[in-house]
Amino acid sequence: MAKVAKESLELCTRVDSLLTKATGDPDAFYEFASENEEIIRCAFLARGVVRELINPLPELLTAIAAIEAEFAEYANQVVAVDVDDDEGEEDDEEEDE
Amino acid sequence: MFEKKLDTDPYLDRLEASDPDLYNEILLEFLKRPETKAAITRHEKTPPEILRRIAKENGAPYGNILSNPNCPPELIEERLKVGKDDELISISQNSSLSEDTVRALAASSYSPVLTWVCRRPDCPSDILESLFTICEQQWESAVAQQKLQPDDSASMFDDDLLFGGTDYGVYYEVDEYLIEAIASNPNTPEQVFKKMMTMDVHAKFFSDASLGSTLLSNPSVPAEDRAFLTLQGITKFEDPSRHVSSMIDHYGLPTSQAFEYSKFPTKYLEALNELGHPSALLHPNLKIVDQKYDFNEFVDGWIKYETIYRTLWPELAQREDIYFWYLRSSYDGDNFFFSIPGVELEHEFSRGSNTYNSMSYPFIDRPWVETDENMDIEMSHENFSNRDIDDLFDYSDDGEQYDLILAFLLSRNSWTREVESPQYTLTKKGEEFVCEWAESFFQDDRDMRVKIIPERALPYSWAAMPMANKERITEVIIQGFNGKVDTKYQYAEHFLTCIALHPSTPPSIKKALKEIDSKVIGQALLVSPWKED
Repeated sequence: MAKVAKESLELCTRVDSLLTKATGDPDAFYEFASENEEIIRCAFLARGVVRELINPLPELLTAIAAIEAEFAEYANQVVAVDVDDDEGEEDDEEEDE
Repeated sequence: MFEKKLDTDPYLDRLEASDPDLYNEILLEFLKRPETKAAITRHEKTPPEILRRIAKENGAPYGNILSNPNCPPELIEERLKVGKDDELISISQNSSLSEDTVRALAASSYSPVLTWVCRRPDCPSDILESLFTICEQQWESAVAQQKLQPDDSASMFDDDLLFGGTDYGVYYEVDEYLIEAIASNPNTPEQVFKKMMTMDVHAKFFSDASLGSTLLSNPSVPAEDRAFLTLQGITKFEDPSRHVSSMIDHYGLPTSQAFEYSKFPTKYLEALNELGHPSALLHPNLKIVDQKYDFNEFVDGWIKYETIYRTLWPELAQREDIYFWYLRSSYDGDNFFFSIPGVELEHEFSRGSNTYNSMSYPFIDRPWVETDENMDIEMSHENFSNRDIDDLFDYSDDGEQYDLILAFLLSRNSWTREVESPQYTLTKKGEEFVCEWAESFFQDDRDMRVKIIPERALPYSWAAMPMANKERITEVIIQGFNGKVDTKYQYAEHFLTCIALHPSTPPSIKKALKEIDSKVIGQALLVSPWKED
């Protein structure tokens, strides 16, 4: 793998952390993802860089930098939900029906 | 016993009429291979001694043999004693049973057997009357149960109501196949009809008929009852296909099976060819004979046995621009098809049915096709490209969906050159990641590459076909296309497209195809240039 510059890796690591936060509420993330395709694409590709799955070209790093602020605005206000509890409620609802 | 039109292979009938010795010889030849042996039991003129011989062997197709009017009586007696439900159904569909046998069948406790017994034109009146008591008891029990229910409970089960809309609202508890069979049989006694007139005559059966429309169509129902039904707005239900089951329609001509084997003696194939057999027309080693060839008559057999595909498809793989694919899907059914840039072949996949641009009979072992299940990066991309993020969310488990989305996004411009300015390249680890997730996600619903091996489709081969045969076949298919009958002409259009694309199609035929009014054939010719003579 080609070495990624330290600054670039730091950028990708920050965006990857935002992605982890953002997915803390899966339902809200699903909605956000459907309206913000480019942000989501860049966020996941940042994760790909961190996990050494891709060698980014400068164009990708520029694109990731461009979405960071807007993505942070969304991710930092997400309150993580307990997925298991949420699912349990859904099951109960289905049973009631 | 009752008279009916026998379900027979017309080419065997013609052979029997023109050359009885050869007919007997070919029947014996059919006994030499398991597939042809099973096929011959569907021909309702196969003699009892041949059916007897087949029945003695392991794995004999008892269902076919027992429903064949020539089935040896001792065999029917033996299987009747064994009493297997599926065999009793087959026996009850045999037109040449003695009254004693019909009575023995009527003692079965298996409802489908009783239904078939009641459908028989030779079913005795007392059996019909006696079996009606089953329906009568079911009806009365359902009415009684309904009366015990509180008034408002019926609405909770509206979907389950058989006779909805009556004062009773009787639940779905009456064997409607049985009552329909009894109501339609002219031997049913008048007192049974009178009782039926007190039941719900409007509710629809699965067949789309109702008790009223079935009674109205039965000439034995008294005139005043029929008039009463008519006054209630009921009309006759005419469906000629009702209860008619032709094994030959379903499985194809027994003689077509003979053309499946390269070692089936040529003299018999030639004899069938002389009679204008549809499979013979596609056989490159048989000459064109002076017969009327009708595409609309032939096409079902060509498709069922896939001889037309074996003739036209395998050698298309010689073209570098044609890609063969196999779609495995428990939702759509499996489909085998090809694509080529510049030619808009519509693929309308549908479970269990044949669509004209693809082969949709799943799970058939075709020796000339090998599926390649390897999920490499190209196939991962191909499969992911038919999905979007919503699909991945909907069909993945919690905890795995984000890695799946990552794999999906990475596959987009990894190996493919479809993206004009790629923003990254996949590392080896990334490639493995994408392939692993594709392999795991696309287990059921996935595209696979296929390897085509034309030699294994022999003797069928467009390249090996003499020029005169190619011209005759093209002419027959063009007639089918211009005839615009049902959906058959769409098959004709597909086969003509294949001929246009085929590397072994001579210029004279391509010139003839140019005259056809079809967009897709025109596109196929554009990507298959030829030199004028």
